Amino acid sequence: MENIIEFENVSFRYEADEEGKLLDLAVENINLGIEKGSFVAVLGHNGSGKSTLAKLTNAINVPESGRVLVNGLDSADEKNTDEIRRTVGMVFQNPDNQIVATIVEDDVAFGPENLGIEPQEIRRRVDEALKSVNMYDFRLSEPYKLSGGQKQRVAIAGVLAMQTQCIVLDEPTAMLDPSGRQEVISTIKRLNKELGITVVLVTHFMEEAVEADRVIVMDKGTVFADGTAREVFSQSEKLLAVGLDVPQATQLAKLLKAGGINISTDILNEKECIEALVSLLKE
Amino acid sequence: MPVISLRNVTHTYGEGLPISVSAIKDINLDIESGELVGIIGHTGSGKSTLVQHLNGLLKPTSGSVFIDGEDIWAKKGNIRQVRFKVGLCFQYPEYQLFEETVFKDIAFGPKNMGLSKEETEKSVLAAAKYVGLKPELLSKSPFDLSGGEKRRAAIAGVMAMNPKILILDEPTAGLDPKGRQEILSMIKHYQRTTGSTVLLVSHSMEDVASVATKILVMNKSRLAMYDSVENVFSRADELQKMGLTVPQITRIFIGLKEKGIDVETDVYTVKEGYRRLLSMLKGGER
Amino acid sequence: MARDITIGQYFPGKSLLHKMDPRVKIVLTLVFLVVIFLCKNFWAMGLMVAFLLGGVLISGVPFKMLLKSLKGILLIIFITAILNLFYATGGKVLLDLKFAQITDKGVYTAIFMAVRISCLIISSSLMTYTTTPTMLTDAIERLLSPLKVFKIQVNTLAMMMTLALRFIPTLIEEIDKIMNAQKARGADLESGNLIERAKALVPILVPLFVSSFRRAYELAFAMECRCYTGSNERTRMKQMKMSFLDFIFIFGIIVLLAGVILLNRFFVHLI
Repeated sequence: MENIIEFENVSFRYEADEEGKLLDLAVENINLGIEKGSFVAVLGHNGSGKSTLAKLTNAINVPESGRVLVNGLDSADEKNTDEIRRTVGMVFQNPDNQIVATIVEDDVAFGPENLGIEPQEIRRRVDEALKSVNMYDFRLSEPYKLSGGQKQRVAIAGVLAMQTQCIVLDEPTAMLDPSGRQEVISTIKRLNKELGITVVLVTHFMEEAVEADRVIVMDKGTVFADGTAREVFSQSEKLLAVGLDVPQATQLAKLLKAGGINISTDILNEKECIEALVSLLKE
Repeated sequence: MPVISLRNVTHTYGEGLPISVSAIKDINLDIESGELVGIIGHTGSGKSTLVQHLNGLLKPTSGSVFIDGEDIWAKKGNIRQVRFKVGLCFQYPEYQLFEETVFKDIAFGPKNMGLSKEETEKSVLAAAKYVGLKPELLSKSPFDLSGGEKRRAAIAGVMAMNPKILILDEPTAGLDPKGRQEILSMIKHYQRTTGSTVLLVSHSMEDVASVATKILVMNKSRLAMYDSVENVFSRADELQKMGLTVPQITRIFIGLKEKGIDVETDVYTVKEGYRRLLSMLKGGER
Repeated sequence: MARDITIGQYFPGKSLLHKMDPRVKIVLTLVFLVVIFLCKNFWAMGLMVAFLLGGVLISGVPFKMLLKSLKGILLIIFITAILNLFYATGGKVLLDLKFAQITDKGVYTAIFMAVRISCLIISSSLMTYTTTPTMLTDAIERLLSPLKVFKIQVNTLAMMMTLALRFIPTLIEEIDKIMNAQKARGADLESGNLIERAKALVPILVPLFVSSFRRAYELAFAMECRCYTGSNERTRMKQMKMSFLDFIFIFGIIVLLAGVILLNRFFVHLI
């Protein structure tokens, strides 16, 4: 399938501080393609360049060298900015700092309003977007009364209402409690499966990355590992070395294998682990 | 004598109004000195309200709070002294930094206590060491620090008051796995060296399980459990029913039990899980 | 703390007042406020109060909530009443204190003034209770749109108002949090003289500013991502159209105005 986002030898650095000292490259020589309709997780510790990568996808950051193409459009060309942001929507970490309006439905309408869409069409899109994140019943609520997970779902609806083809979420669950995290992750998984929306999830929670079709691990501004969740997490030593976690199920399988037990080491989740153990124990 | 005692503590927000809500109900609790207590419960279970009672930021609508055997609300004007004795570090504490230098910011608490210049300096340096802040950072502006360093500086600001009891509300929130681990082992080290009582509020069972000596579970405004880590995890299925996520390794053991395999569910570290499974599997071979 | 703020709060409902065109509502509220000042005696004021009560009944906003909005300015009402009590001259002396006299006219004026201020507050909060802040700012934007002729960026102003309204509860919550955090470090916010108290605010204000700037920065990014440029022509999901209902309300206010003028004419002026 074709790629919706294409990174070609992309490097980027943030502007120098007041003293004019040149900062190090935040990402260096990235080559990546994000396939249309896929669910990609970008994993990495703080400062690994994963947020910078996210902001390069919709022209908030523009490469210092190399090109980022969104549906074939070069993000460095300002004429393309509007079209790119219409294609790739962003959801940020802090749910409070991305909600603009005082009523949920007005906030969801904000994007379409900026695009100059007809009122009836905005109404239709807003209702549809709120329904698809299960927030329709809250459409008249005030955002500050919502929980963190609900606020993030409103933010996702705001992006959906612009009819974006791809959603990039920059650590959307970092400030949420476990139930809020669950809400957000199941919402984006559903959007990906049911509406075919491309999802790029930037996170440092490996249990969220396990859910993705593809996992990209960032370290020191470069792509450190790239593959299916199973391929990436089976290299647990490598991941631990760059300050990341490995699912406990995988760790357990590795330990047992090392202890002389005949168990597969590409176990990803508890279900697979339980099945493998049950069959071993019942033998 | 327990260092913290709560007797029938209830707190109701908006008492008398039609929309009143009890944030905590009828809490009875004794915490012995020197424990590292993990406090868990999901959002709205009352854990934040509970800890704000321990240093007198909130006053119980009924019941009493005893610190060191003394009712903190018995004497008027005593509450500031209680706050020095019970240090409370809030969630995302880096947002409370305000001074020109990290040193001055950490010194804010000790200065409010009225410590002399020498004593203040000693406390600040000791606290900075506990949290692992390099001395050269102390003269920097707190706003020039990295996210993780800011968090440490803010925690040091509470530790510098040398509280007898240190309460940390979600100290690892928003950090990556490595940052989380560093903060947790720093807290463990602090508790061991100073011998003080530490209360750690967290959403994460994994975090709590790795450092705590005891676990306190809040559920629907009530104290659901207060027991040793093993005993709490042996009731893992109850925890799951309360909507709390137990560590994956515990879930694996619950799953095995459900499949009819004879295991206990009080496993909460991978190492322990490995040890038990290995003996079962190897035993089977023989 | 956030619970105590009533201005700018919205009470959801589907009453006739909720359904009014917000532009008409704003203009009529302003007219109503002017008419309150035109009242010269209790008869005219009585008509206003009756009209206002009718409005409250139609709106379905609980009377308790409206009274709550009065709570904040109770002191102002009280002081105004007291001043008028002593200030008014003439009339029968009811009580002769050595330094001042209380006359029946004074008592009447005091009551009249208290009623007048209460009407002012209740009518304007009735407007905010029945209009969402977004509708309110939209309406103000549209009412001010003729100013575009003078190159005033009306839509930017309206956006600023919306954002201010949006972030008031968030910032209040934040102040609460910071205050608690500093109190936990032994900050003393309650005692000391004026200068000491002002100094004690530094640990609250600095973090508040820092976090507000961070919020503003992140918000700007988020808005840009949603294609806000500040200059493009935006459309609106919620259209404003005047309906038959609005004309009825306009007619009602005209009748009220006529009534007040008549009552002022036929009865003795109090002030």
